Amino acid sequence: MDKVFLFGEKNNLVGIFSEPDNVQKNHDKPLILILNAGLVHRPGPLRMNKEFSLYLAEQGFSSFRFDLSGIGDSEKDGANNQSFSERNISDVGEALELIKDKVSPSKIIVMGLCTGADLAHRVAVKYTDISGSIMLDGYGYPTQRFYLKRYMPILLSPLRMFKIAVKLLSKLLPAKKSITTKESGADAYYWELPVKKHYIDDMELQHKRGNKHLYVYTRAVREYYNYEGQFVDNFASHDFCSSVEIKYFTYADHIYAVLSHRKQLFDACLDWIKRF
Amino acid sequence: MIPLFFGDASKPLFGIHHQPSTNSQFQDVSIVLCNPIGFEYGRAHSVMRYLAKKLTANGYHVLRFDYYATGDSSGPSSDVSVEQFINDIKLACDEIKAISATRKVTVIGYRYGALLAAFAAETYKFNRLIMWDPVVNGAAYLDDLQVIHNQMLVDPMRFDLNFLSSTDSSTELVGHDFPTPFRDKIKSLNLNDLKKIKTRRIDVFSYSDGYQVESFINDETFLSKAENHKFEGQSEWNNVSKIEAKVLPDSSIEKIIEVIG
Repeated sequence: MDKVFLFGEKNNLVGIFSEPDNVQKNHDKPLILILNAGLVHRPGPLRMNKEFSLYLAEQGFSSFRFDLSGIGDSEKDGANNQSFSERNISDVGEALELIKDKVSPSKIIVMGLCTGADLAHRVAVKYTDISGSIMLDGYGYPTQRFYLKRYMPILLSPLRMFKIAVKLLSKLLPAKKSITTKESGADAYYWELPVKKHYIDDMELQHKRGNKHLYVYTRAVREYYNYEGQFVDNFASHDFCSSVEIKYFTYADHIYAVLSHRKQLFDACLDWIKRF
Repeated sequence: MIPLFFGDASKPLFGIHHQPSTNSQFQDVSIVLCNPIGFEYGRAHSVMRYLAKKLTANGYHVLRFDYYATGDSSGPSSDVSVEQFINDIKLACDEIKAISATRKVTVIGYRYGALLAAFAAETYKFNRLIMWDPVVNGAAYLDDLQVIHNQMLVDPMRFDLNFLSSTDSSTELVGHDFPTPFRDKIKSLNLNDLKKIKTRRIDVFSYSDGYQVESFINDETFLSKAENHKFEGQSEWNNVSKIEAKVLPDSSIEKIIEVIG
């Protein structure tokens, strides 16, 4: 059963609770807070978020999905001078207040794809109400093995080396000035990888709180994450490494456009949530 | 703006009621917007919202809604049904008339939503029917979706082609369930087969690369009350690289607003 709410200080945010039907509410189970992926509204890319909410409800879990201000059906608060990034974080704060007020679950897991994963990390650091995160195609830091996998095929291919040489030569010629346009909301598509030291500090902080994480990668992010053990190779010496579980779906695309791939994602997430 | 659930309690539909701007002129007609289906739904969300807000400035109550088993409405995606979608349009019309206390309703259908709206108007009286970039022939539309789906599966930027042989995608199209009964029904609908549309006026907004609407418009049954407003440019629904791209508002929106008044 879904219930819709307008919430936030300016009543400008639209969010939907999905709750299991015909079961006694179990406040011990974690609630999943699902964030926007880029500019895609609440149901998610190809209805992925709504489908996952239904799947969770069948298994007795509640979820909440909402639109950040200026995305989907949530109005942007014109009087709010915060940056896009700051506003996103305070919107999640408003959502957490609503969740505590209406459902009051013992634990909240935040989940996001791409820009949503970036936001999931930042709000999990900021808000102690959040106990864990599911990051879909989120952060990744290179390792030696990553570079070998990434660049060895190029080094071993004369044709590709030739193309790179041509490219480098063309860069020596004077370049045309590119024309850029200011596009409203474009920053919703992009995120910057935190400096590794800051990321480690964030994760140590969360580890001390007992937070746990599921990181799921696809080949869509092979430019920065290209094998399952890359996270462990990077952070094995840190305590927080044990609180992060990794799944690597090399066959899936970024938005899980093949339904069997999406089902495998849902199963992996549910399995992790059940053990949370 | 009021988000709500409405319709049959066992199959609630999600909708957003956009209220008229405070200083706008009262209109005794409300408006229902009918979404495209499949992956086109996600592409169209922002532009439908933009259109709704523009219409409220002219004094209209507007209801945007998601068909059963789509968007935020209830139901698993595998439960999609054309008959249900057509019924949902009628429910949405009843809902907006009830909450806005208006007697008449104009329906704007986008892409396959236009075709669904036209079939809903066989039995439900609309004040006006606006068909925006309509799908005319369900069978041709399904063929186009299959082509995009097949192109998507062999896109090396999206998939590792070594893994695709094990994928059974016979009941899905571009990330959405398209079970056989649903496909069969989509295939069976063609605007040219319509014998009557209960509305006083039909306005079609088509692009130069869009499906042919001339035979429908020029059918003697509808000729007296139908007009085709043609736009230059491409709607690009069949471009596989645009599956995730939002449709941006263009001059067709202003023209729709102007025609509705």
